[in-house]
Amino acid sequence: MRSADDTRWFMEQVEREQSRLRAFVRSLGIRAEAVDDLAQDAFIVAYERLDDFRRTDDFGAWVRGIARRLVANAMRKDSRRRQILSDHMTELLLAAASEELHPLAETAADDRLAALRSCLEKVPDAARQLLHLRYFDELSPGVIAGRIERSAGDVRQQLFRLRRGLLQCIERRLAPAAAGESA
Amino acid sequence: MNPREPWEAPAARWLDGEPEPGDGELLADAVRRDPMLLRELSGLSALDDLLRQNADPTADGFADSLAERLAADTDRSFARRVEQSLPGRSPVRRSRYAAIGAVAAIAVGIGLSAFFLRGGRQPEVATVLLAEQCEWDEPSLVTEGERLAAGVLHLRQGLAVLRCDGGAELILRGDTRIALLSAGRARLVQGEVTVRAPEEAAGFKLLTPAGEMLDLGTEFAAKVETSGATELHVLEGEVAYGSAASGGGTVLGAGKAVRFDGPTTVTPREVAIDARRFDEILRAARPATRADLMLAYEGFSYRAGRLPFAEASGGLGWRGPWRDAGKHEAYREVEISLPDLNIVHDGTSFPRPLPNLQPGMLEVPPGTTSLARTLERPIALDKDGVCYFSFIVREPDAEADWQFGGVRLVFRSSADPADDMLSFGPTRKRVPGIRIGNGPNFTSPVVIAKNQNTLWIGKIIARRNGDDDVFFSVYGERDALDYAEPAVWQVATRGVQRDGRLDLVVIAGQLNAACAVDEIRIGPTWRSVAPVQTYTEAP
Repeated sequence: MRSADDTRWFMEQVEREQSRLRAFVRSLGIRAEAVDDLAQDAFIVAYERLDDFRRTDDFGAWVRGIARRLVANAMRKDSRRRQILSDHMTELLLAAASEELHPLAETAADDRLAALRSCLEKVPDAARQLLHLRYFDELSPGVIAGRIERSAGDVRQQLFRLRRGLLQCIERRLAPAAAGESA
Repeated sequence: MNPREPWEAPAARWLDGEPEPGDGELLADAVRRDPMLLRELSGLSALDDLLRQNADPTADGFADSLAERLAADTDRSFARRVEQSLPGRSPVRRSRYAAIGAVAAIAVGIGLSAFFLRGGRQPEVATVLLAEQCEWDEPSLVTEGERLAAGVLHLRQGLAVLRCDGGAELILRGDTRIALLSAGRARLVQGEVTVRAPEEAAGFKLLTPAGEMLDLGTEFAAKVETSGATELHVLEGEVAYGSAASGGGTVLGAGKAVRFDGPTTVTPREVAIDARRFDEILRAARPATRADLMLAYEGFSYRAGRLPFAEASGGLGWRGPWRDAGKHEAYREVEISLPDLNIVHDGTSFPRPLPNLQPGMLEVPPGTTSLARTLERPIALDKDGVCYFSFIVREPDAEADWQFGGVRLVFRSSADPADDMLSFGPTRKRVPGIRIGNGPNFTSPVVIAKNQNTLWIGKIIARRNGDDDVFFSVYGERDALDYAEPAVWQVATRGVQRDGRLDLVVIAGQLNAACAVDEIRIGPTWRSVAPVQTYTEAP
């Protein structure tokens, strides 16, 4: 049994890392609805293996490594494959080196959220309303389409482009120098 | 990038969780041709999660849920299974939910559970309304009236009713294990729970091995077997259910029931509804007044007339008789000294019969007076605990006068009577109020009626660490009293921290005409001090 101090320390790490871990798990092609479960599984394994971890090391990187292996394992299990959107894509995402993936998932949570909120302020009202329906009201593109009398494909397409624009905006905010070089 | 690229529509579907057959291959081919696309798609996925986090910034939900799982998993069997299932180890065929089902067999009584259940970091999310013949597994030992932090409860036997702070009420019947995750969310690990969520509490979520059950303002029962098989019975209104993996979102109406035969079952089968209504279960439990639990009682059942203090030693739970309050015990600085008590038998009785009510009331004379009596067992504010009191007051139909505040019931410490004091009663504006020591007053907008009997009920939640909470309500003759405390009290304190031991009960009067008081009850639960009838008298 872990001591209260160990547990307290561990939960502090959870609070600090959970946002990043969730984004990381999602970026491996996991269904949004399954992200929390998988991220929690990773933390539970980390808690079990806490004796193997040196506190001077990067806890976030360690638990992301555990999550990566859990996702790899999920691909081999029928009961867990539903968590994965596409085996083909997740295979590629798992095989990619860290630098081949987008750094957003590994950026500090506060920085990412601040950048996102700043970028959201620049989104036109109609587009912001669409994001609200999708993320605050948690409506599927099909349901949104019914509400605004568009096709589901149109809604998905518009959301896709909105998110691409937001991602580019966040990249500029998080790394202005790098973005300037690539522009 | 070209917006008309053929991979764009598949990518949009993939991101929104709705890929069509072939989308994955098409996207993978596109990625192989343009490795930068993989980077962008991983970034868009991370952004999708970020947008979700931005829409629901309460990180507590995740941490609470994880804490619950860790607490439930005290034998580490789940973690071992997950570890064994990692690449290079023998695969495990059971899903996480099956593992959770297996965890149902876990005793939650180890230190880890205690940390999560009782630790100061966990927010309080619910109140125990009723605990009828309950046998709890340590450390989830809970009592009526107690505030519950997020964590795991294991009710082995009996019936318990919890009210989540979001408004939903849950009936648990043993043998049931449930994890309270937040004010509006719980995970049923094993057993049976009946949920009543009034309209204002709609949106309560019950997580089960079969997925999430979302209350849409209704009543429903959920049953989870140790195998992970799960049943949902909708008693009134509608419930949306579904697993995260399957996308969820099926709505089940009243009178319908479904069963998921196992934790990996995606499509349930219809079964006959087999669950009782919330009120039926309560009536069957017949929650009654528990006067036997009282810690202190004074019914003023003395002979009528003037009663020397030496003879005023009835009731139970007291150390010595009533007395004229001393200088440091009296509520106000300048008071009239009383030579004795005056007991009246004028036929007055509270219209809501109180069990074992005996004739006799104490007359509180005009003027500014205080009578004091010492409790055998003080109300300890320096440790975790819950205490209730009730008190009957009949005030005269006198004109309001700013100097005459009425009667107050005061609990104070003989060691520090000025600071460690909780005083209950009407303010000069005739609204219920709580005064804390020489400090803040808390009041209600409700005006107390005169010329009728009123029943005062208060609750004191003491915390060794953190704020104490004190509540107070005044019930008139026509107000109904339920089997359990109200969801909303008329007066509630905020930011109070006291650590004294309240060993004195003081009846303080500031009156321009005599009034009568009766039935001081102090106990650990609502039912030990309140006349509960609603359910004992129901057909």
